[in-house]
Amino acid sequence: MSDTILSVKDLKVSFDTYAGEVQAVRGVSFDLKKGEVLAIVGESGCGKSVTAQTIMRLTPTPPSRIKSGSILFDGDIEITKLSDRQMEHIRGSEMGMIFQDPMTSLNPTMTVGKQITEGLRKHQRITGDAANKRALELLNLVGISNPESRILQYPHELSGGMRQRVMIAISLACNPKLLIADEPTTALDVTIQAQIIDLMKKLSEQTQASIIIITHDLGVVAEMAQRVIVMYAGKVVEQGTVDEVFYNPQHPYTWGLLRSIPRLDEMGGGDLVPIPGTPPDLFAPPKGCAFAARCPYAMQVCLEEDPDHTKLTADHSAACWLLHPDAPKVERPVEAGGRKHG
Amino acid sequence: MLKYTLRRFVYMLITLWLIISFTFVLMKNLPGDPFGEMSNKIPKDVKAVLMREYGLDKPLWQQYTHYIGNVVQGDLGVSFQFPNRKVTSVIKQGFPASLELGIFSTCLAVLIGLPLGIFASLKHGKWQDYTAMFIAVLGVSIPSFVLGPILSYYVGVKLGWLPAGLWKGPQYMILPGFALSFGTLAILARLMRTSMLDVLNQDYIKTARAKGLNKLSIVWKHTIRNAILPVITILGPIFVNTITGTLVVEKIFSVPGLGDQFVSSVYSNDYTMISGLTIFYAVVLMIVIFFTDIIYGLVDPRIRLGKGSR
Ligand SMILES: Nc1ncnc2c1ncn2[C@@H]1O[C@H](COP(=O)(O)OP(=O)(O)OP(=O)(O)O)[C@@H](O)[C@H]1O
Ligand SMILES: [Mg+2]
Repeated sequence: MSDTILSVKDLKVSFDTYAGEVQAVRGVSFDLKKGEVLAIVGESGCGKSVTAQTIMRLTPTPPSRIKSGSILFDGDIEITKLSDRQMEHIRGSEMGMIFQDPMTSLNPTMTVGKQITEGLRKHQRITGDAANKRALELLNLVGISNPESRILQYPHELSGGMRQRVMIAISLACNPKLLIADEPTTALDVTIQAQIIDLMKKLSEQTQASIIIITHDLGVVAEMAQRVIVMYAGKVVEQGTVDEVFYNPQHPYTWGLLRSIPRLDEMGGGDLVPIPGTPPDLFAPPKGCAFAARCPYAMQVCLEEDPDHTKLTADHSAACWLLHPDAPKVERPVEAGGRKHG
Repeated sequence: MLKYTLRRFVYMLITLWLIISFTFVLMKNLPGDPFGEMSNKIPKDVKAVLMREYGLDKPLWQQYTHYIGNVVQGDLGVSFQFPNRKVTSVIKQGFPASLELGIFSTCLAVLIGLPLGIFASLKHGKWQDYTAMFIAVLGVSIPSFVLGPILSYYVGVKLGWLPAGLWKGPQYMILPGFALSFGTLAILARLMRTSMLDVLNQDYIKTARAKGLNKLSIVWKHTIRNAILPVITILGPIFVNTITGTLVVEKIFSVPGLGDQFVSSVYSNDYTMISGLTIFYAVVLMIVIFFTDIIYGLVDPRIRLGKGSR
């Protein structure tokens, strides 16, 4: 138990909009161990960001609302029950977050140095000088040269890659126990992406922080993560170690995902096959398995009842009726995917 | 920053020259002539003398160069209406009151409008927001010539709390100042609210929240500073608009300002007075915009350090 930093149980998050209730997250459970890197993958709109931001209580309330479930952080802190005040003390000091678009994630009218030291000064109550020293250290750590002149600059004077490095520095400022990166490389061009991933990988080894990384890039998953969660329509459909999910995927959605996403590391690794159809409407999610409408193997039961997770190994589980002992055996259409680990 | 300032300055001069030329052309093409109704009754030779006196008989380009030369030297000519008064002296006499009133109501509009907009944005979608925006709609839709008499009558005459008119001291500014600023106040409040809501939706506000900053520092350090930028750009025009817009309010509250002069000069085809006042207001506008640009540059690092300095 004590080696678990974060434990999410049956988390449900909805948005109350004029058009009705959007059930963005519909019962997500997972654990994150200390020092572990966990990847969350899934199509656009499946609730990855909402899950991540709910862990930091960053989604605006209203319209969002935690309907049920628990988020246990660092042993005994129940995130869902904290007051806004208490949450402010955890955000930025115990948890840090990196966002997708470094071009818009930094305040254009504040110097880089100030944006880094701001959180430090609040959480650690240190002097301006000490905070500046730490800022220089952090900029060095994230690989920005000439930190002395950089801290006086404004975001528009830095390139996208550098800004993302600054964002990483900000998120690491107070040595958080948990770092959440929501598609940290999506907005960057390919060479810079690789640099940022290398940096994050290095930092994940150097610092003791546990990391949740949300990405569309299976290459990033293979490179960085130990475990992976596959989300679909607000639920976890499969989770396991990276090897288990890549080499022995069990859920038809995971099969589709593995076949539909290009992998730069695999030249000529078969044609890309997009998953036909679109994800269900989260205003009125289907009664049965949310993927049934797009699943080539859907059975009657899939339309009527949502499958529970079937445990395959200690880490590996998938929520699919095909795993039921009475289900027909189907041929998996993906060759064991994913790149060799390490 | 210096380069930026210099460039602004040159733009300002060019704009001024364009405006002066434009008023000149406009004046020459206005229907009617400066001698008004009387025009036909004045004997031909007398009229010719008058035309010569005012330089109206010379070829256009000579009139133009002469005109520009005079303007540059600060001579805006002699009024057609009151032949013994120079346009500049009319301005000297009337402008101080208009300026005071204008400054006072602009300050009022800023000091009430911005906080109102900020407040509304922070209570977005709640009753406080709707109330604030209702006030703003009132402000935009009630013209000062309606609000002015109401204030003058009820607060000034009926309740006797404040002077209902005239211009003899600070307390005389309050009612006309408020009547004049209500519309501006409303515009500023709405603009500030929109701008705040826009900034509050930006990613960097999420970053600030992810740092664990409290609400106050997020609003103060990250939101207002960015939200106020578009508001600063319109402060200049709003200020000038307020000074030139004092006319009706000046009439209602019997303030001896410049607005009154402007209207009567238009009625009497007082060419020199109209163009003189237009140029004067244009200069005021230019200067104010120049300074708001500079302030904007100071507030927004993207401009301060941008192309201008490197
Ligand atoms: N503020 C909001 N109001 C209403 N619905 C929202 C809001 N934010 C998110 N949602 C809904 O929640 C669902 C999940 O969104 P989320 O941003 O978590 O997707 P995602 O998996 O991160 O997708 P992407 O890969 O595109 O980032 C979406 O269907 C979205 O429409
Ligand atoms: Mg997302």
